[in-house]
Amino acid sequence: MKVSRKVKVTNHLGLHARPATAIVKMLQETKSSVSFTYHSETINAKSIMSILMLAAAKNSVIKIDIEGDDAESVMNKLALAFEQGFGEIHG
Amino acid sequence: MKYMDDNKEFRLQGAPVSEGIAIGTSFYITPQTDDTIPEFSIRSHQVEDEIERYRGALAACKVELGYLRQNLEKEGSQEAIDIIDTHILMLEDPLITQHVEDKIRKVRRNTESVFSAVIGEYEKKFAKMKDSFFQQRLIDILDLSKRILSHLGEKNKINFAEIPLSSIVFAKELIPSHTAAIQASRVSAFVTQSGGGNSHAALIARAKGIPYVSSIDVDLFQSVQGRCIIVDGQTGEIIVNPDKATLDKYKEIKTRLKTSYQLLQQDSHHITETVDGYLVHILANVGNLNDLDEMHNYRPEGIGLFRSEYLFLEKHTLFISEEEQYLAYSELIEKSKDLFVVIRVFDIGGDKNPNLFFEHEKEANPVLGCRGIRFLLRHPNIFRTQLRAIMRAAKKSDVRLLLPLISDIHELQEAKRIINEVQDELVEQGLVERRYYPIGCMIEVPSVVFICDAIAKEADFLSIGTNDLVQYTLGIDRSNPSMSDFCYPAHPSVIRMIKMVVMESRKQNKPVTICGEIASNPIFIPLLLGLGVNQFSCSPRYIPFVKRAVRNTVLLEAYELAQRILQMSSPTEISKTLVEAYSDSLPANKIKGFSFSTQTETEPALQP
Repeated sequence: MKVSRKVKVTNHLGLHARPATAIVKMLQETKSSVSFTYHSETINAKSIMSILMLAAAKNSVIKIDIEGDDAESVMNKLALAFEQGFGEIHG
Repeated sequence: MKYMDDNKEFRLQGAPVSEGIAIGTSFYITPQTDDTIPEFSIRSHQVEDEIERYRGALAACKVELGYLRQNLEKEGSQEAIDIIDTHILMLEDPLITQHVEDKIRKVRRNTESVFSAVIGEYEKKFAKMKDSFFQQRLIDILDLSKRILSHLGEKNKINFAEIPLSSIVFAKELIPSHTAAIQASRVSAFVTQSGGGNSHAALIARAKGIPYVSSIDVDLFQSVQGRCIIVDGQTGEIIVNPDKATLDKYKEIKTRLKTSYQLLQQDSHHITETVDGYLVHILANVGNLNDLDEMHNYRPEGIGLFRSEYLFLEKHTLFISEEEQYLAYSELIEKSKDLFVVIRVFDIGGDKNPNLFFEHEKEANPVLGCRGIRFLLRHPNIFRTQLRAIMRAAKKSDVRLLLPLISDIHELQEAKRIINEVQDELVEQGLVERRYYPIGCMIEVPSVVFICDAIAKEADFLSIGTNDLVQYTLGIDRSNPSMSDFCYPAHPSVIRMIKMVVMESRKQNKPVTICGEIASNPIFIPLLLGLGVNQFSCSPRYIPFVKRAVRNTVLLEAYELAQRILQMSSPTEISKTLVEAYSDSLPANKIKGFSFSTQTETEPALQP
């Protein structure tokens, strides 16, 4: 299964170390391949350094592509984490 | 330097990074000698050995970081733990593992040279970034690469346990693992040549409450160990060989420091953070549309609890048309401006206001009866009408739904199902565009505290309602005046429950808010912060007090306070400790109007 969605970075410091850590930890459980595309650069979302090198600031829009058996549920989890600013903000 | 030779006082101006005053002796950390990386080609049969050696170094780093993390856990500095976690993940990053191994196979050169070349590429990439905040993250990669290289070869490492007590550490630059390895108790301050306010070292120094000044030419101090030095983290000044008058002055400033923090940071429009820079979110509890305008004066970051049942009190019925509710929620959202709103769906039931529903059956024990979500699930038409009205009014604004009195997972799942169904229906009718509603769960019944791991998975956020939690935990009717003395949240059971909820929700990365009475009582704020709570929702007029209490708190101290209190079994001992800690953190009489036993928030109208 293949799913794709665009999400916005909501926490005010952007995709810095802590959210990147949260993402990679979350994706450790899945066998699906997950990639982020930002500013026409596509990276493996299971690589924390790649995520950091995107330097995605607040309000950046990131395209998530997931391919694999649990693509849908992984996407929902990821999108929610983005939406909630990775638990960093409640606003 | 010449002028260091005599023992006269002199001063240097640097950039303040982490606040605080330190008096101690200088200790210069020699920069690690920039070893040249060995470079040579390898034969094809050596390739796998090289890779094995590389994997061995990565594994050794992992073990080392694991130990470091354990020590940090004991110290309780979450910032530093987060950084170590990031480093551990980097060790598993395909860019570090697979990519380097592939390169070794391809170019057939020794691991050190291949590895350094790869890191060099990343370095270039970071250097190109425009955002300095992200650029700073390069230091993690460089730090880790130093660690990996050190496991590939033998090198002298700094042993931080050997640093004398109350040292002022001078270094060209601090890398995160250094700062993390340093025990706050041994080091009084950091002074470096480079490293800005966003650096990890700065974050950790602030988290640990260690004063830190940068932009000082540290080479001056290389030859002179053990001088008496004062570091002023406020002004960025370094005073070498202070004379007696200066020393006395700074000793006095040091003891008065906590006081000056509050005086400096009273304005409520500033972001709310602890003395050591830990960000805390203050939200408002609102029950009335007319309160919204005034609420904005207190600058909450959002509405953490909107008690929707209060909207319709004067109607004496919950059978209010969808249209009328729609208008009310629209007004709520408009008046909230751009703040998010957590709408708690009707929290109603036997004890709360029996005449609100017509077919009310007499309950022998209404507090334990059909209340909150139980009532809504039993009267789905009321629930659905409310949800329809909220969703139509919400449109794209940040509205979140909060479910009251959840006591098991099925109630939460069932409520979620209904919420989804209502949205499907509205989308099908073309009345709304599909969107996501974060769904929160009130934690007020002890049963959900114990299944909080499951609840935190299912819910998007949690909100601890301490008033009911106390009532249900201690088995005390809070409406019974003769019992009111016993109805306190300082009971160890309640504190341990809060701890459990915070821990479980953190594992799931879900925010927790405290919205009960104790969130507006400054005496509890340090304890709650120490338990890991970083979101409080209280009545707007208490916001300035809560903000001030947060700004007076040093997170590390709060953490220690919480650890101490978690060991206690007597509520009176806990209350005493809280009061003492609170008065220590403040000059006497600074905040009036709060005493330990005072009920700070009496809910209007509905409160039994």
